[in-house]
Amino acid sequence: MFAGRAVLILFVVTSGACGGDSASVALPEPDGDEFAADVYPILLRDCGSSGCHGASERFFRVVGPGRTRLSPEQAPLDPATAQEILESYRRARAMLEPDSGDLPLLLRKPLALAAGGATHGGHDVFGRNVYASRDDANYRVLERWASGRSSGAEP
Amino acid sequence: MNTRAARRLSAAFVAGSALCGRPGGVRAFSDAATFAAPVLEAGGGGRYYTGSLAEGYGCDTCHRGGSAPLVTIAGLPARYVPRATYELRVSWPRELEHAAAALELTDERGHGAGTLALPTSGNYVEDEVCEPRDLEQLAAQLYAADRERTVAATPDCGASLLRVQWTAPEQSVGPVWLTGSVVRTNHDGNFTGDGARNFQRTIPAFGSSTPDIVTKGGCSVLAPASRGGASRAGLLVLTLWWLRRVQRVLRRVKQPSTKRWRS
Repeated sequence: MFAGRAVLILFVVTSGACGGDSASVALPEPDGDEFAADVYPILLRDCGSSGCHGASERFFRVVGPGRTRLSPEQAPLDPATAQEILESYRRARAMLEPDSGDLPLLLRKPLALAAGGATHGGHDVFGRNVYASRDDANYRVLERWASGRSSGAEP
Repeated sequence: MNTRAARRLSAAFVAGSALCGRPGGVRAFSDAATFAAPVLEAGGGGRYYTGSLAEGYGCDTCHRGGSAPLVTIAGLPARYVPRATYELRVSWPRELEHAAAALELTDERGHGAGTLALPTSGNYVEDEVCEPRDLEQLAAQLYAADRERTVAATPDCGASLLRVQWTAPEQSVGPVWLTGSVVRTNHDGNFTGDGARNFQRTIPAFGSSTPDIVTKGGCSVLAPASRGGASRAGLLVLTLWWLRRVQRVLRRVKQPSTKRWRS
């Protein structure tokens, strides 16, 4: 009887652990090549300043040329390395919430409140968020990539 | 060549050497030309960090941790007259070893307003040329940006003045915004320990029907000229009160003396 209970508990615990794994697997896998070619330059330009999402303490972090480098060995003007692009891809992908009707954080945070965005510390000197509307050309690139329509491998 | 110039040349040599033989402490944005370069080439991707209505971000987006430089702005007209030319001067202390600046003028939509020109050769003043001064190389450069904007910028080369000639737009475009940013760096190869100061000035159009209302960050605020109007109204109220008092005193004077000097 006791052994049966122990087996049951073990089953529940391991099932829970598997459930946790499956949740992380459900994270979208947007295309890596598209990220490197189109999304990465936008994130570097609009988010990656050293005082913003180039800072090491940020959960969402973008690193690359002219901004914070992944390794102190890299000179600021050196081209982006594969590791930097991959690190930025993984951090950006982590901002894509799975199975949610709302916009993922990657799209919600930089968007103006009036356009359906969220509060964001990174407003400019006029108090404006990064993108005034979803019609912004750069925002649309992020949106297309985040939608996962062009899913693929890591960069 | 003075000591400061020699020090600067040495620093340039060290920086250049570092660039050739990495790893190095080269500053990515010490030259504003970099701002126009594509992001993947370590450029700004078109961001000049002037804090303008077109961009919204100044040098302090990256450069932080140190004291901001004192910035002096001169030559701004109280109101601009279309097609008129003004000499605008932005300066910072000469004592700063490493400083750079950028500015632009836009309308309220963030589009370029008017045209900018730099001083011509032979008309440079000492503070606006790079070190060593005897080469007479003007520090400032003009850069064409999106939305028909022109950015004037001075790299970190020893200058302490950014002087431009601004010719106002052909027609009134509403208030014009002068925005810019000056950064002083500690030259340590990263963004920390530096200080930046952004500046904004609004120039209403001469003869504009609503010259005293300017928009700032989405809010309407009263310009100082309108506050002058409020004080005029206060003066009128004071005058009326004073007249009423005089009237009361005169009325008493007309009454019989027995009443006034009753014992």
